[in-house]
Amino acid sequence: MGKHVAVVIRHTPFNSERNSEALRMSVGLTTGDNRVSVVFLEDGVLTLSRLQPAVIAADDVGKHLQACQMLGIRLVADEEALRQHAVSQPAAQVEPVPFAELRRLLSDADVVIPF
Amino acid sequence: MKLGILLTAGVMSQSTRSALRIAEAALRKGAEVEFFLMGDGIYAVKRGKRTAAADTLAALTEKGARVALCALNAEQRGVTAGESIPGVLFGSQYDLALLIGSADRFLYFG
Repeated sequence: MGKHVAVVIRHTPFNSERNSEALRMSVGLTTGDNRVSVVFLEDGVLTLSRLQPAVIAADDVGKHLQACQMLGIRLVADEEALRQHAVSQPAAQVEPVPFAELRRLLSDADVVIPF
Repeated sequence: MKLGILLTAGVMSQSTRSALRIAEAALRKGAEVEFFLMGDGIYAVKRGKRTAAADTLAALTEKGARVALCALNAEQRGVTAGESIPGVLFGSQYDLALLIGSADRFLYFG
């Protein structure tokens, strides 16, 4: 197995294609035998809301989230941020975890990409 | 020592300037340097009159740095191989995956 790469998403899903690109990149990273985790922090948890990007002709992050799940990418989110942003029914199978555990995950990763 | 650099920032940003300066310093120290560009980082390969990023990157490639980019992002931005500095690989996310796997140190500039 290659390296453990943690991709951090912490910005809101719209106004830029940043989050969509972060997820597309995460999918691509699995091709290199890397173990990939996507970590949703702060406003980034809003990416897990049930979005309707087609309404504003924005890129569909949902398809990237689906691809992540199909490829076994671990999706984790700060449980406190999920509560604060009222994301009670995430659009993907994400693990809500305490911040301390996220900190551990990030410090154990070989590469962290704070997208 | 191999240094991998992922650059997604635009050419006018301090992040890009920092990435190029760090790469230059690493090459001077004898390190191997490889860039992967995506998002607005793509513009760093496009020669233009207003910024020095492409010229700096071209000089780094002459000193041994390697540069690959996400061809999809380049297509989105209308950046073609013909407008690019020489020696750039118009590749895919697979190239980023390989870079991460092979780099001893990996830095992100966004």
